[in-house]
Amino acid sequence: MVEIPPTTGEKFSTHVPPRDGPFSASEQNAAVTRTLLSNRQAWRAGRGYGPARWLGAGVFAAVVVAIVVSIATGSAQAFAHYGPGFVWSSTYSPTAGQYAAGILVVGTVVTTGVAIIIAAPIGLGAAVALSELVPPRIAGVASTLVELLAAVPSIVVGLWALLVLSPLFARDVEPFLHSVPVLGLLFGGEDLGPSIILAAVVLAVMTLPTLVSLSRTALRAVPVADREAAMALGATRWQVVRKVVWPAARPGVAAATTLAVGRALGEAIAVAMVIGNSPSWPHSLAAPGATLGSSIVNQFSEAQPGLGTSSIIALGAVLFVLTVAVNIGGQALRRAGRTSSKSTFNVPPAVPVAGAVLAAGAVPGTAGSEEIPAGSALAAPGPLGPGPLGPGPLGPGHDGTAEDHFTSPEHTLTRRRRWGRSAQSLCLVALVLAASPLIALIIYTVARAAPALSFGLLVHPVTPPFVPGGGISTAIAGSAKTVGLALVMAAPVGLLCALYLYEKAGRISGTLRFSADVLSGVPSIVIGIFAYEVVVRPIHHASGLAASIALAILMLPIMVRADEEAIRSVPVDLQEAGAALGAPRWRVVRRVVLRGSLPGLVAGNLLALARSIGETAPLLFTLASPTFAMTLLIYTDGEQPYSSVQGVAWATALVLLAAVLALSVLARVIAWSLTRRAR
Amino acid sequence: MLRRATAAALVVLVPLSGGAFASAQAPRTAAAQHQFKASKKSKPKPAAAITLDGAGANSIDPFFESVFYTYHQANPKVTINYDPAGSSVGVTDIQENTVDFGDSEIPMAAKDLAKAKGTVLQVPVDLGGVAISYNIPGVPSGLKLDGPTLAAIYDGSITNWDDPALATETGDAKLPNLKIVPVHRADTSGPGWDLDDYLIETAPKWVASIATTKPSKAWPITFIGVGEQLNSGVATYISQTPGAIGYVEYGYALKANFTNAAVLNNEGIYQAPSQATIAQAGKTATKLSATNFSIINQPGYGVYPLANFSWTLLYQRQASTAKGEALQALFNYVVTTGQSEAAELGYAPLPANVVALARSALKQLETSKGAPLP
Repeated sequence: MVEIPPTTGEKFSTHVPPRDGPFSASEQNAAVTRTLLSNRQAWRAGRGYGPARWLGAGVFAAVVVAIVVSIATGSAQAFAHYGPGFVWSSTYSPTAGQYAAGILVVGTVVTTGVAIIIAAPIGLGAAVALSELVPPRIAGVASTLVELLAAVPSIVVGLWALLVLSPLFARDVEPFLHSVPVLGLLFGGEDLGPSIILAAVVLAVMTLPTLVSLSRTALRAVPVADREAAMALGATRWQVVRKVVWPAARPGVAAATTLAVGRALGEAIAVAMVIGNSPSWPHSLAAPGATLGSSIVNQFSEAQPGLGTSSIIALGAVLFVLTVAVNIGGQALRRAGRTSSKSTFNVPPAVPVAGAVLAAGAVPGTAGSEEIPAGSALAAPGPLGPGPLGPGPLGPGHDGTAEDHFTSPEHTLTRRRRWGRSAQSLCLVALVLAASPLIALIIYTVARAAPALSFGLLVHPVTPPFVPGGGISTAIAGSAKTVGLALVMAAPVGLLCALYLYEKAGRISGTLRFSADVLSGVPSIVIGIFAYEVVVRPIHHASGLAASIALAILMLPIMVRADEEAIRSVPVDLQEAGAALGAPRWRVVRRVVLRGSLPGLVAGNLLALARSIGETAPLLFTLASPTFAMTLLIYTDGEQPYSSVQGVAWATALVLLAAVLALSVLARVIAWSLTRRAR
Repeated sequence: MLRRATAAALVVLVPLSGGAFASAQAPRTAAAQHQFKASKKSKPKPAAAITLDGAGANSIDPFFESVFYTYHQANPKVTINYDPAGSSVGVTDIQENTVDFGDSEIPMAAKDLAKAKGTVLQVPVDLGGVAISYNIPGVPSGLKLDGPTLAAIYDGSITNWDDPALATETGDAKLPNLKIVPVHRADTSGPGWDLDDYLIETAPKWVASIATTKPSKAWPITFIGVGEQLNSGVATYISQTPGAIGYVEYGYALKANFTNAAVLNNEGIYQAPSQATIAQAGKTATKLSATNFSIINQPGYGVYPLANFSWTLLYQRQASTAKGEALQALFNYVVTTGQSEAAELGYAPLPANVVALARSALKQLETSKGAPLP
């Protein structure tokens, strides 16, 4: 847009009364007219806008580059010493700085793989249930619930797994898995509790909400007309899901799964708490193991300076590459899904899909009484499809007709309904399975925290174990300070960078957007290492600043993408109106774009805040004492063998849960008010 | 509606970030305080508050936490943070110079000291023991173990509590048919070094299976049983798992009400860990130094064979004189008055000769220029 300096601005009032109402067009235009044509000084002040945007984008780019460079230089010594063989080495010798990256890579891949084998079917089933089977009203509530569950911090899941699941696995689950024929071969050895399978279950529980809500989004994106078309052809509800919705949503579901894989690969703390930390080739899923993340958690601070530390950073580099590769794969899948779904607008999906339904012998007799031959049945529902009905797709339909001569329609319908019913009930079971662990976890946390929780606990500082009168105020204040400072650092950069992305299309923006996507997939433990390397080591002190920087980096990519989306939601014609009235670009941005996108911006930043307040890994190497953050306090107190101290851990977990859920709910309320207003 | 929602967001955000300042004004009674002091520099005080950050041995943590807390109550201007991440972390952090003091169960050897950024003073600050704790339902106490039996448990040659070899050794024929789960430290540790040293001295078969006579902080046989992080991790696992046996700092075992095995000492007597038997072990350390520190399997009837001193690590030259003085005062307190807190927490007070050694080491602290502290 062309920037036109205002010439007649002085004539108009510069005062704008605050507006509460929705953007009704006339009111909005009047307000824009009044506010935009303002004095020359404002135009001068706006000259900083361009550079500020550049600065935002520049800082963001610098952060990404700095992370890559720091990880590369930090691990250089190890790679130089061991060569590329470090990546598949199986020698574990901490004194020599050798950390068996090969074993850890295999451990990471196996743990994540098992987690996804558990989570993917459950997640998909639950998503299908939410999107297709459950009444919309209930589905809406349940989906929100699932999304809220995604915000449960991994440290709380880890605490629950350590104190509740681990003994349960040792006593009941692992002996049971043992005894299952054939499958039992995978679970040989002793039943110890901490094991690869326990870690995998924990990862599955943690990734399920994300998996469910993203898969559901992909399923919902399939046009309703497609479903109706298939229904009209006589497909049962389940056949609609199988033959219509699923093929169209597959790329989106695959992308959701890769994102879940990325998160599972990078999870460090919860895994370290339950995997048993044994760096050996995984010979049994019931045996203790180790992953890249868990080893970094346990070894980073005790590694020998020099080669040892460098080797741990090299483990971080391997993990970094692994997760980035998976995330890029996920992005590519998502993009592929987008282009393919675009192309289906030209070639209506319903028709070939309907053909496939026919091929399965599904069509004849929608109502059962009227026996319509397959060929004519096709002709009628065809026009319901979203596009022109080509004659080509009719072909496969005729395959089905041959079969139909031998089976009565009523018979196939009953069979299909029976099939559908059992599949549907499986999906509903999956929905229950997906949500119940985390709901159980929350209930359990409340029950365990209740005896320890009191007002005194919240306002008194941490004392040593067994010194009465202690509380967790140190940790609450510490978390608030660390996260608050991180927010102050990240929010402006995120906003300016988002404005840059909004204003400038081109290769740089594309690269920045891509970096944001990649950065959001980088494991938080790697960011923790980065903060240690760039702050703690140079200033020779653990510092809250380092922790805040780490959290800010974690927030940044979420903020950039959320901010950009919020900004893009502001109608272009309002901005054009502003520009047409002669307002400089900055005024348009400030008065129209930012004001219009404010709820979206606040909601996005709140979600980023909710995520970062539950982070543990980045604080591990950067804070001077575990009492300086709620998550660290849970991590250390949860491991203590004294039930009173564990009670404090549970109480802290409850406070943390409440904070995270409150932030998420608030963000949702704001986003909801935004959509309501838009309507 | 929208505006109200935004305002609500602010209401939440302000206490979140602003809480920083509110809590900075709250009375400072905690042993641990947060870093962001700079934000509250508006009221400069004549004698500035000092924060001392330390990291290291996990075994000393109950003692340190308690004594630092008491010290802070008496000297509110001195705040001490201690990160009990393990002895190796104490050594590493001193080498990297990211803490004001480190602590290690095993003193730094010459090659460790060579990697430090200056002369490191090593000050003995506590006397503790390593308990062999177990969780066998129905066997409340009385388990007796010698080196070879313990070695057999930890190298996997005895796998069930009803093993006849165990009954003969322990004198308990009624041990249940229950699988033994030996628990070791997954991280490097002082207690691990102590037990390894004891097994090397008493069990020839152990030496054969680990193929060295040098004790190591990293547990040598990791594929038997389960590895857990820190004393707390081992202790939590033992408390959760019937059949488990593991080595933990006595302070943790005492507070967790564990049952501990009596271990055969050098005189052929089975001694259980207690303040008295650990103190007896401390008395044998007549020529204690950073190179002659081991009191494992010492002679003496009343001696518990798995005892050790913990060593605080300080740079001799202190970059900040104020910090140097604060450290000197703090650790003089820890090795003298502070020792009175040891007994209740499962440690033994330092013997007089060791206190003298510690005090003379603390006297060597210097300013950054190399002059003695004022």
